[in-house]
Amino acid sequence: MLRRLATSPPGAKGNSARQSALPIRIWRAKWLYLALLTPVALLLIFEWLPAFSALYNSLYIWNGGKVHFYVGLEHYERMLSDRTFRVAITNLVGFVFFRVIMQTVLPFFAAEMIINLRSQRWSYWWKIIFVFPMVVPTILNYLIWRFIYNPQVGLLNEGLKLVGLGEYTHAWLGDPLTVMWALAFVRFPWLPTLQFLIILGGLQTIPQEVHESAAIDGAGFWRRLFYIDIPMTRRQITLAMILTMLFMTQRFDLFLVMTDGGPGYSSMVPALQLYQSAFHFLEFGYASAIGVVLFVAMLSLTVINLRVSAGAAND
Amino acid sequence: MFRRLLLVSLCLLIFGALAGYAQDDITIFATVGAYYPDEPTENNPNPPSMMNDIVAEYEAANPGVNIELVDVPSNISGDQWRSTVFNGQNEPHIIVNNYIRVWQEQGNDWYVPLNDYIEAPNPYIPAGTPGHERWADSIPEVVWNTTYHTGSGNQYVVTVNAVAVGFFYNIDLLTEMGNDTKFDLPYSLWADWDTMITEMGAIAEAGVEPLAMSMSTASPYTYNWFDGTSLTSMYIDHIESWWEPGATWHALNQREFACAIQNGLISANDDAFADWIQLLADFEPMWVDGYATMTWDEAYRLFITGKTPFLLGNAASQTLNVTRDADFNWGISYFPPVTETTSAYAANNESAYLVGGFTAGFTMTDRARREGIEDQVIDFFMYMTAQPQWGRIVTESPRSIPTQLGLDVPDALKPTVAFLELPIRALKDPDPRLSRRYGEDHRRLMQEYFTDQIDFDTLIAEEDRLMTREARVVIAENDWSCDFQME
Repeated sequence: MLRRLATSPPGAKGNSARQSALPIRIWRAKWLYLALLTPVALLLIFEWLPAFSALYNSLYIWNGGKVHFYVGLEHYERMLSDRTFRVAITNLVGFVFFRVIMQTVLPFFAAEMIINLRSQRWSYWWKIIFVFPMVVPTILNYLIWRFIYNPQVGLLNEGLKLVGLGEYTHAWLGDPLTVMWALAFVRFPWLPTLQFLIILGGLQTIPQEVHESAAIDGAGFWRRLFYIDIPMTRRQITLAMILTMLFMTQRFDLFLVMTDGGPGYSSMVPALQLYQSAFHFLEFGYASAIGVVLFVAMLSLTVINLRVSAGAAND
Repeated sequence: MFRRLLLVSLCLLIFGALAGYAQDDITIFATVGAYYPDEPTENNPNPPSMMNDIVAEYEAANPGVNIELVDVPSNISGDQWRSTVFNGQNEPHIIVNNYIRVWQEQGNDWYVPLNDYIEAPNPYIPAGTPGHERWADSIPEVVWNTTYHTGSGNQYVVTVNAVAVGFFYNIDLLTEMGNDTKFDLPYSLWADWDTMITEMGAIAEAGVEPLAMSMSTASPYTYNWFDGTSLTSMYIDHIESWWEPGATWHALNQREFACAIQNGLISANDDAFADWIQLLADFEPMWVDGYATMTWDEAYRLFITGKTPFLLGNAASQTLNVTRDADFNWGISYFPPVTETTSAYAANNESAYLVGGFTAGFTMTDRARREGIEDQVIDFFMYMTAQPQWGRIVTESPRSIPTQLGLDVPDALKPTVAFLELPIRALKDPDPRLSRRYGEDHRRLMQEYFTDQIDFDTLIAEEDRLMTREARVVIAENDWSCDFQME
């Protein structure tokens, strides 16, 4: 039935015939539609409903309990004059920019190195090594990095002392000048598995003949990189960048575990502010408003993501 | 014959099931805080288990009543947990909570006022023991006075624990550094605040970070303790004029402090306030590097591994841990008083002030009322907190000093009894002084000042804005009048 549905030539019959056939076609495919109902219902309940309830609640003062009254756009106005939100946005932009660059460039070079390995066996093992961090719990990673940055007994300061650079030891997370850099360096050397696999997949689709022709024409590694590999994986690179942007914008666990936004507000980000507004201060209305702003920002990025993905598929 | 037998058996089964159903068992859910009978772990090899015995005895004496002890998940904050269970109407019937939190949450109608219940006799307290005739008499008046001032006139909490905070100090490390400080006051190593800073400063100059503590917004309580006690000292000449009529010395409730701000009796622009900021700024260099994002556990490890000579912690529960973990000689001291040597505004201040005190207690939640089982819940409440039961609980696990009259102080906590004799600080942690948002924003502002992100004038301007705004919000939300302070 699937094949028949898929292979029915569009426009083979007139419009009226097609319209009259539609209910029949739906009836014939009823089990498929029924099977679709479950995921659609779950999506509506767990994804769409919270998103739209946040939109509704952002117009109210709500303490999560019985205090619930309409205030219109007051929360959005407050956001414009909220010093914490301004700092949080500034921090986020810098953090996302740095991580997008790093989490695209370095996975690209890692994928390039693997593609250029002659031994299939080594290539396989290198892929395993790069994919392995995916199974390490993120929270464990953060705790390790907290320990690395510990001012008194941390690995970083101990390492600096060991190589005679003791005067540079520092409370990396406790100093507003270094805290965002310290957070940006968490999970160094930034080889996120998903972005790595996307770019690797892109590089693998480049026909071998193209590389062979370039080699015959005398193109070295750098020329091949800039004139073949980067242009031909442009879609994948863009997708990896957009995914990184989305992930980093939503990220609040890193900031919560490592610094809780401090010292002061120097590592505050909007997602953490949302969490704190809701669960520390029981300001669910304001938290919802922050959520709506983040939602709109991420929806825009998702639309871009979809268009890019669609473009890549068409290619 | 066989069919009849089968039929009779079936009928009996059905009747039995119906009878069991009709008996309508009651299940009471309760949190018991630090006394929850947990499974042993590597870090906690001997968890308390006495609560299991208490529950079993009560259930045996009250057929049809089941008690389920609830463990509050450790991976979310207490605030978050309460918000979730109360809004989901799935809260336990009895909850351990800090009375300050109850003050802040009273507007939600989450807790049942206990005013009438504490006036009734507690049958589980033996005749001749305080509380047998009137439950409230089992606990000293000072405890009720501390926890009563909710602004609503209701008493929601029965506080059976008393705790103090204190400076744990490493005697071996201090001796090794040539510091032979001895107790200058019955409760403190130092005669006054300046002496403490001078002595800690000498340790810092010798290249050792003096004090392990945390100002992380995730576990800010150790900073909060300095904050409240020193602010009390700086406003000692004014605090009485902020009280509600007829009050005696007590920890101010939100209404009193908010009204004091609204009525202009305290302001961030005061000279006393500026002196207070300076007092804290002078103390800040004694704190370990990274205090702004350090967790309390990390601070604890610095002390226990001999990296710092002082640790600020809960003198009750942490005494057990330090006893278990320290392989050096240690002692416990307390904050010295802030006097005129520190600020002219503290010229009339004679004492240090107790941080902690009668903090955590039991509350009955609205679920008991919704389910119509208040009497059964209060009966278990009375049983559990009566001296014969509570005495066994704290003897097995001395995590706090029992407040009930007639119970002994556990040996491990005897050194902290002197702290509990100090007057309670009138101005508490930043959060209960005004609001949770004020507390967090205030700490972040102080962090910004200490780490040179903002200057003094900006700090004062931001504090003024913050205090004024939060006072207005708290007063409006609770529909409070502030006329009492103007009379």
